[in-house]
Amino acid sequence: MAEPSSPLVFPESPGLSDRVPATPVSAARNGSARRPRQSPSAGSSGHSTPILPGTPGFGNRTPNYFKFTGGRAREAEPQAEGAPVEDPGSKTYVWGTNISIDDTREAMHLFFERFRESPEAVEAKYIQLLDQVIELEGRSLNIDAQNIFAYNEELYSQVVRYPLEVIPLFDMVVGDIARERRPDWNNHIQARIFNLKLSTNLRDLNPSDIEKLVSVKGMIIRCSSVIPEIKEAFFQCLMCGHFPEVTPVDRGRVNEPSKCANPACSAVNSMTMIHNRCTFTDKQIVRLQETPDAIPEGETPHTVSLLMHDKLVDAAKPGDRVEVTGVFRAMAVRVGPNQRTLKSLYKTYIDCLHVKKADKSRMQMHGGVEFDNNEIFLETDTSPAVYEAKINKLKELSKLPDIYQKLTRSLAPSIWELEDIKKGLLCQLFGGSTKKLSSGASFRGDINVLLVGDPGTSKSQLLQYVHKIAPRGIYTSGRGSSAVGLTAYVTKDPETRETVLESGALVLSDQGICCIDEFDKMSENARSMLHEVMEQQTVSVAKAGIIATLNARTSVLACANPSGSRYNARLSVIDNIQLPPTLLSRFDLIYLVLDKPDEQTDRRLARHLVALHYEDPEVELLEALDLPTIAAYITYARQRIHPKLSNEAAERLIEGYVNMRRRGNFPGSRKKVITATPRQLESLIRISEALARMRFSETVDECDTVEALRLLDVALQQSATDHSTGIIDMDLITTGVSASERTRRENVVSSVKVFIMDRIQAGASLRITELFEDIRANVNQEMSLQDLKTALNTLMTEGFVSVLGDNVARS
Amino acid sequence: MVAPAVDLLRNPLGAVRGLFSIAAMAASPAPAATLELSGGDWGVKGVFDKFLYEEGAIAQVPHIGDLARDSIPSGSLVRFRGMIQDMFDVEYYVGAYKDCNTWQTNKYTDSPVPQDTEQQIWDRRLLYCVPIPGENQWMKNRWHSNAVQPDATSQSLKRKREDVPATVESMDCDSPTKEQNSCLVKIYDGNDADLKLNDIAEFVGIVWKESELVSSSASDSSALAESLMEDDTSLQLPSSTVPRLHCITMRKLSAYSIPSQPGALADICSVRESLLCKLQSVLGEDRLAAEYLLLHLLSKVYSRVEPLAVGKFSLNFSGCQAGADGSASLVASAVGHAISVLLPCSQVVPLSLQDLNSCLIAPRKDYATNRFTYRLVTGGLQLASGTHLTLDETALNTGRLNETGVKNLQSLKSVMESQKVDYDFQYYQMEMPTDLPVLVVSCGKSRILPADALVPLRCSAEAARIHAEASDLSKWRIYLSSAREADHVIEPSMQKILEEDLVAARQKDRTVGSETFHRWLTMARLLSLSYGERSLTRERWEMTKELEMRCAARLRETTA
Repeated sequence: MAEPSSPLVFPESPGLSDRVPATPVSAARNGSARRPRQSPSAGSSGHSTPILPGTPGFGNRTPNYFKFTGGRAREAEPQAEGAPVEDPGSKTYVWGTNISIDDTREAMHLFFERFRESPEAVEAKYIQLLDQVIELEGRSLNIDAQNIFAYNEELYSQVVRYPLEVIPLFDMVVGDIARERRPDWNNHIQARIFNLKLSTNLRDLNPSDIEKLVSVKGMIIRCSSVIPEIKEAFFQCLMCGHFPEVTPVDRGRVNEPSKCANPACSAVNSMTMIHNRCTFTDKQIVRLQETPDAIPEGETPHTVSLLMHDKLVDAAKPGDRVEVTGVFRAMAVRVGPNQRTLKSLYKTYIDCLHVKKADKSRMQMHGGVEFDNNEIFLETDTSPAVYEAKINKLKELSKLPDIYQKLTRSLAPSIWELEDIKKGLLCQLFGGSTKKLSSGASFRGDINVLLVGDPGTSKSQLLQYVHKIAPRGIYTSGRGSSAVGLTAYVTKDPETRETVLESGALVLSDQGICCIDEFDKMSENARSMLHEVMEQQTVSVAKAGIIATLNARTSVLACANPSGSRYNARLSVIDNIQLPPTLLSRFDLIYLVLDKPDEQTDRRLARHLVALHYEDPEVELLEALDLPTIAAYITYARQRIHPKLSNEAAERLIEGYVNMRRRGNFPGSRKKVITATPRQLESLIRISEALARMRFSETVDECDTVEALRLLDVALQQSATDHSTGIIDMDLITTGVSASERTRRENVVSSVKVFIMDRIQAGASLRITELFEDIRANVNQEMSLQDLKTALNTLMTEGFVSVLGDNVARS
Repeated sequence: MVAPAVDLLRNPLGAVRGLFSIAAMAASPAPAATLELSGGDWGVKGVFDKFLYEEGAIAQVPHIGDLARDSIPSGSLVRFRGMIQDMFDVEYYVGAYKDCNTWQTNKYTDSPVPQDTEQQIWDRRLLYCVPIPGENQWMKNRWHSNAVQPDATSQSLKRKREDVPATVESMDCDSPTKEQNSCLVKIYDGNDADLKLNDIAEFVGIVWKESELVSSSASDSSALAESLMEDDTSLQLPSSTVPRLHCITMRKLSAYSIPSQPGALADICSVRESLLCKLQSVLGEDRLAAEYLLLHLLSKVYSRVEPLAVGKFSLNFSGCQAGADGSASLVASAVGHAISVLLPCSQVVPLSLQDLNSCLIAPRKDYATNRFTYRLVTGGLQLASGTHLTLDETALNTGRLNETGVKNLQSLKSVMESQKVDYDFQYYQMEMPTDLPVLVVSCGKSRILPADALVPLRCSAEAARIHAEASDLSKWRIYLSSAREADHVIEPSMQKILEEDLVAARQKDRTVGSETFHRWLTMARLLSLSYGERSLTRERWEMTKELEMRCAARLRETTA
């Protein structure tokens, strides 16, 4: 098995090579024709020339070969710096280097026997692990390269630079130790080294990495089927049945005996292979592709082939994010069979030693309730260091005193003003925490927001923006939203001949934000489904007699246009958008995005836009956080921060709520206006929680509740103010009729009743218009025809009058 | 360093090898010095750049596509102009080997090397380039006019083709014919640093054809070798159909720039007027629509402020009749044809349900279906920046869209809204910025594809095909290309006026929002450019507002 071109040369101990077990590395070597080498001093000729320490081209050596922790220095002679090896003849070296086989083995032995993760540990880490492997009849031992580095930097660099030579030594040493522990141990154990200090970007692999130990991250996009590879061939003579020892495969080739070894038979070409008795190993080619974060803009992802052996076969599936450690290899491509010329191309692949799946559970290990969705962290942060750095950066951000303002500014920076609305949207993005009681009842943590306003006030842009940074969100237009589903239907409006797309709007955006544009134009059907979604957080789908209830823990962000083209300030929100009050009351925050003619704002908008078109707009936006940062910030907060109400905050909330309710009581008035309902209290809690999350705070503090109260107040001021009295009136939202309006209507009814009693005899009738004129002339009360009709309707249900066409008759 | 004696055109490799040996000589005998050789290019690029561009020899370099493939011998200097459709993995090759104690280089070739020699492995990048999608015939002719024309008949054939209706392509997936004219470009020494996907470039280098002996059953290239080869994308593209070009030097081009003589345009205003008249007749004598179309043809994205792509100006002509029995609408085909003779790259796409449902138009990787597919499967939306798209929505009938259809519409929408295409890499999506001016032709206002500006067409005559003298055409082309490339500014004084006007407009009409302002500013800029002016004047601003007023009035009439 002595290959002339093998880098492992053992001139003094020829027997050694026999003991080199078949490792993945040496097995894979079979394919390679000739390894070119670019290592320093590669140009120097001679195979086994020992190179002395300190030879130019092999710099920075650590002064001591081994780090001794004391004692047991029996075999290895520690070398002083630069001390020449006394007798080159007595040592074996790795080809082209000054790595002495014996020294390295000794270093490994020491590493295994000595290395402890903490000084208190009783037993050495790897001895312990090895015992486990032996116990379980395992075949491999995982070795953390960081441990090697911590113990012996020299050994680490040897492994990384000359893996083909050093890793078989590792296997041997592990085998030796295993036999020491259990003398009858006969199996081969592979050393699998992982967790290199430096993980290479797939794109940055270059010829100088060839035959080095590398670690790359990526995503598996394809696995080949398992390829059985023959390891030992078994032959039997067809003539006499004699079978010789199994023939090991030599560099992918089986040397078929041409003649029966049985002297009695000696038949020529009689040997046949018995497949059942050959031994095979598994092999697999896997394709690894870069993860998106590693790809520069405007390029396509790179890929690399991985070669997996034995246990590593099928260890990962397509779609898995993995970090593989292995030897980067290049294989020459031949022009044709048996030709000595090679194509000038080399195929590269990574001979895998170890595969680590990107640790998805790490995200949830710290007690996250939401097993969230967003993979932002999983994608980029497979290495703990990078991950930590990122988290620290986010944490630092959260410590900024003006983080709230900063986040507000960064949300849709191209949209001006609308500060409070942006704050409301931020709260929605962060969300409150979902509470589940032991009784099974749960309270939603999602905050629903409705924007109502004039056309052209960039509501849609806000929606688009939220949709972009929301962890999981869908964006849909109410117009033409049908039901749950993925397909869509193209219809033509018969009148305008406009083509309309009916998309399946409520494709569930569980754990995300469902953005619905043109909410007012949504069909009744779809809207009714939202009722359930927004309070119970489920969707019931009835199909073929089965009612399925699906989770839809989604926040709803909707925007609606007033039914008249402009918002009529004299009408209530309900009248303006004509949405059922039941649905409206489910929104925590309702904002009116009114376009108030304000010259200052207009001027700023105009200046901003002109600048956008003609100058470098970067300067203005420097203050803001960029989109990925906000997205990461929000994701982290949603996953990790679950704030609890502090006592003071709770006190403050109660106080605020009571205050809100009290506002409806006028001293000396029996009139009761409901200015807040328990729903508002719930909203307040959610908003406070969201605000605490923005600060990465585990407790909801007083400042949060104060701001929450303010935000809710602002929203209510806008949407639930009864314009005839100027007070917030929750009835406007919950029933669509304000308390003052209700009293007015009652007054109208009673005065009409009195009037009719006076004017109309029982059984007689009068035209409504005449009645109206009459009332207008005689009753000192403002009243419209519509008012009269409503009043008559009420009276009709009382059975006081009957209305027939245009005529009113007293019954 | 220069070896002038060598004929760079006929024997470029000789020159390369000469330069290498000079460099190798200088570096020897230290063995480590060979390492240094791998980094530099020994002055090769410099020599060729000087030869090609300064001495003007580029005109003598044949285009790969012009000649029958077989007539170009391996190792000759050729050029190829195309769009980068995909980027393959880095290729490792024997860069230098020692032959009888002297180093020989194998750079810029695919030639085999002797075994058992000392070798160095270097790497090079592979770009898969295709002929520019949607490139119009006149543009191809223009580039190739100086190339050797095989015979006169094909010349006249091409001229004829120019009058043939615009290329109406359904947004087709990777068709096998495309492979015919594609080319695998090998890039050395990181010369490609600023090349991106969908860029257009002209590569000059050495063409190489391998012997078709692919190691199929090499004795010791075991199963491993074979399965590795299987995964190798470039091998799926036999060099007989996809030639390899070892790029020595290259230059980036843009999709809308056309090679022109400086000073070709004397009187911009008259050129503008004549073009406008022509567009007017194409649009059934609708002057207003023609003005908008002209601005639209000049638009390009010139800056991005997330999520906005500033400068895009997509246009929607409503009020167009669908063509009889499912053919393209008259307006769409007339406009499409006009654009195809005016702009270098354009495509007309009828949006029929069947097409939308049948195949994805956003490029994607498909790892499952067959072995070739590490390649990016191109879609109708993989186009070079600057390619014009005419979408014919009148072809869209009532019916069900399947998932593919919905995705396609989303892709189109994202192009119109933010000029981005999501490339689907199956396990994740990647957003690629693009710049495709989109014109939508529809019956009513298009609700599916939201354009920046909506103009209801008022045809007083039939939409007519463009017919013009070659000299006029060439003037217009140069006019459009130069106006599109020009820079534009607004003086601070003008900015003040704009601000005042915008504020005033908003005070008057509250429906005027930021979208309207964006449109006005974009239009003002384009209008200014269309007159060949580099800064906005009061006059152009007033014109912009007037155009918008007329358009708004028309819109009111239509809806009333």
